[in-house]
Amino acid sequence: MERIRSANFKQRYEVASPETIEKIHQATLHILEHTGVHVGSERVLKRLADSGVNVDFQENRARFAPEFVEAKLALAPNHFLAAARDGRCDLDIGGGRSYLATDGCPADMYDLDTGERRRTTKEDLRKLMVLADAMPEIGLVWTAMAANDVPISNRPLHELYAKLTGTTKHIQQNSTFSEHGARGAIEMATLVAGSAEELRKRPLITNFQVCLSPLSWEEGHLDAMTTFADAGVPVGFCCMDLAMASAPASVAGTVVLANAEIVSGMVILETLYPGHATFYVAFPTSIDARDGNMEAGWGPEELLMQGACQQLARRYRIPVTVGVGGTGAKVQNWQAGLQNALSAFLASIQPGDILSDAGTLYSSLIYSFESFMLDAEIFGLLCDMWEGYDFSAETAGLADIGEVGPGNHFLGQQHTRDHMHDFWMPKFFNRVTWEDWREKGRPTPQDAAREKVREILSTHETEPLPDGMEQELQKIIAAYELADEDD
Amino acid sequence: MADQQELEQAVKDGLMVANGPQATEATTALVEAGVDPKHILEKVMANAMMELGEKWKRGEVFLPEVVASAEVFKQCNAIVEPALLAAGTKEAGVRVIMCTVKGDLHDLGKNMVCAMMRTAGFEVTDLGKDTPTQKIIDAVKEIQPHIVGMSALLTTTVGQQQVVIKTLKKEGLRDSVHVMVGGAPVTQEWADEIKADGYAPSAPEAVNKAKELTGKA
Amino acid sequence: MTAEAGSGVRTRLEGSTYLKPLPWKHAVEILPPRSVAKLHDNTLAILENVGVKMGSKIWLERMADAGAKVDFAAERVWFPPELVEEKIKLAPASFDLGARDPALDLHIGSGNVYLSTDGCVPDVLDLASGERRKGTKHDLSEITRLADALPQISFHWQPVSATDTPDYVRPLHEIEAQLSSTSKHIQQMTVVDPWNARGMVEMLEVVAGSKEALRARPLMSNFQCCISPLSWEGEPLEAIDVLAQAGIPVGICSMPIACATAPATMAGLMSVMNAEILSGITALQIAYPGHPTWYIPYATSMDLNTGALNLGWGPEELTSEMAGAQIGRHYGIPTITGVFGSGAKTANWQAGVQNGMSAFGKVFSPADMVTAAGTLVFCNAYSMDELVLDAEIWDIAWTFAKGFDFDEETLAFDAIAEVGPANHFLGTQHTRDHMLDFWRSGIFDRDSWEDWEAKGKPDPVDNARRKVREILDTHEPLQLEDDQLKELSRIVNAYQVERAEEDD
Repeated sequence: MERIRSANFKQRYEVASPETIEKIHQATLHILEHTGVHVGSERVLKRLADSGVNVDFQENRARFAPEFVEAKLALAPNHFLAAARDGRCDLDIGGGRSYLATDGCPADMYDLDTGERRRTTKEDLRKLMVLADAMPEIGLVWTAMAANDVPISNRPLHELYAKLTGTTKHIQQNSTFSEHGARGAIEMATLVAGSAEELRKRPLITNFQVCLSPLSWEEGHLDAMTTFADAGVPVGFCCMDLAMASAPASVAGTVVLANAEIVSGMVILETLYPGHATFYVAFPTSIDARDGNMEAGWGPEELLMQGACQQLARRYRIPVTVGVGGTGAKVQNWQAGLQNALSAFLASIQPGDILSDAGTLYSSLIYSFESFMLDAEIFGLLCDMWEGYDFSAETAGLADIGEVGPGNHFLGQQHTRDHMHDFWMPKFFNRVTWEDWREKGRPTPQDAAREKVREILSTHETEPLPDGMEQELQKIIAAYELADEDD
Repeated sequence: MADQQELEQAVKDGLMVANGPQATEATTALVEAGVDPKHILEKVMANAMMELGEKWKRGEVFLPEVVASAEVFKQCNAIVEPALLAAGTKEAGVRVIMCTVKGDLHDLGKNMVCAMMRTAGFEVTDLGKDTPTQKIIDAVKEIQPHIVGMSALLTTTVGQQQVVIKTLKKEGLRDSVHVMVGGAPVTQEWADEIKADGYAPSAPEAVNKAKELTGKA
Repeated sequence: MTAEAGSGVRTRLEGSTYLKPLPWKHAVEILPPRSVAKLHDNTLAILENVGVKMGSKIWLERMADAGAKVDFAAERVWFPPELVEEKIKLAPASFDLGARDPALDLHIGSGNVYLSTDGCVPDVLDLASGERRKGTKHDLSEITRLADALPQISFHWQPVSATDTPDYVRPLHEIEAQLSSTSKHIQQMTVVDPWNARGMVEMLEVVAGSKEALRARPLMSNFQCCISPLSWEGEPLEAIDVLAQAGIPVGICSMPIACATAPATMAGLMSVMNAEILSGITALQIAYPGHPTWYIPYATSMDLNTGALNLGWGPEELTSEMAGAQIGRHYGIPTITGVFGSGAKTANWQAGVQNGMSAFGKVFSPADMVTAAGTLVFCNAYSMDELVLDAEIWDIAWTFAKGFDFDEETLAFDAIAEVGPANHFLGTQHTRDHMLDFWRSGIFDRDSWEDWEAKGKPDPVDNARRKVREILDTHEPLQLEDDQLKELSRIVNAYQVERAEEDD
């Protein structure tokens, strides 16, 4: 049984014309040249200055000339290896296939048994990893939810441990925003990889850093970036611009700003580490103009932003993560199905190399194991759909059509029995008759999803780490725990 | 010089549509003409913001407009305050201190809350982002606010809200203020756990909560 | 009047005076060219070697005269490929479908995707009780009136059957109910026999004013369905005669079900479907060259366990819809395809997924008309709430299809430079100027968690229901003249009595 189902999304739809994309690129260059970005790390600022970048030490500002930007972007490789503990799950990011990732990183989840909303724990994260390990729709994992029950100072390492023990698929160590955390993560990954050289050759973890919109890179994020890059770990750049709040009140303006932020991150990386593997991660959205709520700000604009950002990444020939899903609904209702399906559908014709989705509600404030399953269903549907169908005469069954003739039926034909199971079969869509459904107590798709979750959790066993490695990892984690400064 | 009524209307109009130059010019003129600064602040500026708040409730204006007006209010306040201090007038309004906690640079939520609070007539001091605990303590001692509001966006910084509450207790200040908390990872459960007095998930709801806590209608 | 951004910013209930069709954009061709070619070859092979049944002697004669091979005794027709290819070219690439309010005319072939309500749904979900029951003439009027107020709906089918009227004259009751409940175009699909077709024409002439006026701007259209596989019954064909002669545009439909009335493969399903439609269009163009018609591909699949329509439909249905539109575009013939029609039993997650994807399939692979909004259980139950929810999805699709502007104003260069790193755009002039450009839902749940919990965890359906009630309480469609209403009623009665007498 295949461990990972990736999609071969061959369609190329474009929400924006090539001319518009070009204009966005030019506008980006303009901003980076004249406004620049805030660089919160003195060390990085100095290294940039040493590399010839126009730096203002008073303001912590770096400004990049257009030719410089173009030159650095060209250094980024257009694909890279994201390795996994199980070699069968290695991913060629940017190699032409699309992989679904779990989403992240809420602090709450819906309890599987009580249905109540509660804080997430390290064990919850590990369980989700087990689900991800079992579901072929998942290609790689994020830190899907926060391990709130462990100390803050080494939390990302606890989270990495949960991921390493929960799954043998590739791990994106995304919620590491400090040098301290990055060092710890690298130590752990090096242990599992076997050596520093092995980790560099086969990065078992990747990372991305998030911009503080607008146009600001914080110290911890940049220092984490350099630490990961030093170890050969691919580092992506992400932004979560909020139109009307941290970005202008227009699709064009938000896309330009987001692009400028991500490009600036990549330029900084390629300046300091020429040729280092990187990827483009854009999650722009908007606030609701009335209340300021981020969870309510979903609409067609988000889809347009999603598409435009994907086109920009393609223009730069850099691997891209498309943010899919992220519904603002609080439960798996019509709104959740709609929002996530539309986002995923667009992502199937404006494909990302990674589709980051699977599992969140309420704009990534609540995680749900049921949603994880349901989002995987959507991905599976799209994979099937875009595989296409054979139209040969034999497959069409022309002979049978002649045999059956007008006014008859095909129920008893051999051809029917031979092919009827080619049709897609949903896991969670409800198909039974109305009467049957009422009799069974009106079950919902999320009920079916919950059953599947329980089934997997009670039967699936992740391939364990080699003997003794768990204890070694725990020692590293303990070593990175800092005394609470405020006690 | 235009008459007082005209100037006051100019301040009001300027605040309602966030016309900074108009509002500040008129405010300056009023102050220079010797009009009672308490009157300017409460009967002119604060009233305008409250009217704006009513318009927001009716769906006639939206949050970005409220924020813009709040910015202008700050500018007008900067003109009136020196006159207030010089007159030795103690403000009778409800005072609020707002901040984003230490280690956290996200302040959109805080900004929105500050703006909405002003429309309800609260006097808001914004300490900014990445606010060290000591700075909050110092501000509490100086301003003697009725409410201390803290925002945090990350699960890794939200713990600072608890630290601040503990420190307030240690300094013997806890009982003299109402503490409100907010931000993406904050829930009622968290607020209860750290023994905050109030929690609100959005800017408009923060105003309601603040009114409830201070007994302001 | 310009269409407003979002369906819920400032609700107006003054009745629909404008339409929101999707614009045709760059299409995603879901079938590769070689598949389209093979499909066409398969189709011609079926028409030439298997042929179709035709239950009308007049039509068989026409086919024979045109050069088809006909067996009169067996009521069978085989079409030579050249005949098919010659005749389908006669179908016009564009024409208008009239509405009582001319501003709401449909310009078929103009690069717009017009949405309709569904038709012939057996049951309705009662608005008050939520229970499933048979539809009535009053339900039909009310649903039509509701759809009249939604700009996302461009035309009507007959959402429910007026089961409280005699079945032999039911279509005329339905026409009467709908004509007085909307000023938009009505596509009358329940007229499938020549007798009701005559009644329909008589009623339309009353509203149009004269035969000539009706011919110039047909206020209704119609379509006839092949019985899969490959079988045209006599009465539908003779209904076409009556309607075509009166100038009523007639579409040609095929609704095969994989595994049951068509083979169990996409290729077989679509080949049978294409053959049925092309046989109908060919026949129509032989009988009435140049008559406005459209290609109606409704291929679906059977649930292997229940034998009913597949409620858990997915990739095949979506492909079928997008491919159907693609094939129509390929032939240059105006097309209707299916949209919405989730198999879910309530407006739940599944409904959101299926309906959302289907709607966006219309953006990516446009047709001229698409049906149909407002049903659950895969077109087995009509729901007013669902109609509003579907209209909401359509509104999202419409806004998405418009795309985004890139100019100096939207780019906000100055705003970006002015705001600078680590600041914010909340209060800037640019934000205030443009914040309402953003689509805002009138239906989505936008409360904070706490508010939502306090309210008892409402569902978007609750917002939809509120909108339904608002509209039903206030919306007045364009009224017919009193004497027109009287005359329509008289015609319906006359036909009803005539047939009742025959049965006695």
